[in-house]
Amino acid sequence: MAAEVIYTASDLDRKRREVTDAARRGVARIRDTDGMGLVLLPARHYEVLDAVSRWHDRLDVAERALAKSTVDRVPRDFGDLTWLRHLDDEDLATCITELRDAVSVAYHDDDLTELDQLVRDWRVTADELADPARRESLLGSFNANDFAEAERPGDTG
Amino acid sequence: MTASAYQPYEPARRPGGRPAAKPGYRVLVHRKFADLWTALPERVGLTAAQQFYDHVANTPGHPAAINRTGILRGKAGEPMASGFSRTIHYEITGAGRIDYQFNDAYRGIRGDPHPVVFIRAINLSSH
Repeated sequence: MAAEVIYTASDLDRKRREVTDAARRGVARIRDTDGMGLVLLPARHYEVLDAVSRWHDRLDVAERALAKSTVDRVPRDFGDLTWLRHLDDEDLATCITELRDAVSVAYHDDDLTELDQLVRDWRVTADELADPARRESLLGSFNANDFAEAERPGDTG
Repeated sequence: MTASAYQPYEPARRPGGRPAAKPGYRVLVHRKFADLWTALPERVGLTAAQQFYDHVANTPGHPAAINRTGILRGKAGEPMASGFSRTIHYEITGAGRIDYQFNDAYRGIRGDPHPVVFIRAINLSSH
C-alpha cells in the first residue's frame, strides 16, 4: 500500500498537476502553512458527502417526529421536511426506511441519482395526500362504480 | 398481351387479413374528479390535455414522451386490486398533476378482459 502523500501549500503551485491528479483519484491532502489539514476532492464526491450528512440529520429529525404521538406533532417537528406531515405513521415509517437505504446506496455508489428520485417521489406523494379529496381517493378501496367514462378532451360526440 | 395473375412486385397479402390494431385503453375518471376532468383543457390547455389522454389511452405504462411521470410511494402507490399497476403520477408542466393506474386485462361488468386506465385523482392547484 502506497504511503499517503501530504502536500504542502506551496505544492499547489509547484506540483499543481500532481496535486489535482491525486484529488481526481479520490483525495489530495494538503498541510497549510499554519499546520491546518485541508483536502481537495472531486466536486461530485463532496456533493454526495454533503447530501448524505444532511439526510442523516433530516432522517433523525423525522424519526423523532414519528416517535411523538400524532396529536402532539407539529409541522416544525419535521425540520425542513414539513411536507412529511401529510404522511400517516405507516407511510412515514416506510419513507424513513426507504430514504435511509437510499442514503446508504448514495454513499457507497458515490451517486445521488436514486436518492434524489426517491425524495422527489415521496414529496410528490405527500403533496397529493395533502388534499382531503385526493387522499380519500388514493387511499380508499377500489369500487368500479366510483369511475365514469372520460372522453378525450376536445372531442365531441 | 394478357395480364398474368402472377405479379412479382406486388406484396403478398398477409395471411388472415389485416392485423388487428392494438386495442387502446378505455379511460375512466373517478367521479369525484369529473368536474376537474371537464375543466382540464381550460386549465392546462387543450394540447396538453389531449397529450395526457393520448398517452394513457395508448402507452400508460411507459414514461411520457413530453411530460414527466413518476410513481407514488407508500400506500397511495399500491395497486388498487390484483392486476392493476402501481399509481403513476403524470405532471403537466406547471399546470396540473394526474394520478392513475392501469389494468391490461380488467374484467368489469363487461366480463371480457380489456385494457382500462383508472384516473384516481386530479390536482390542478399551482405548485
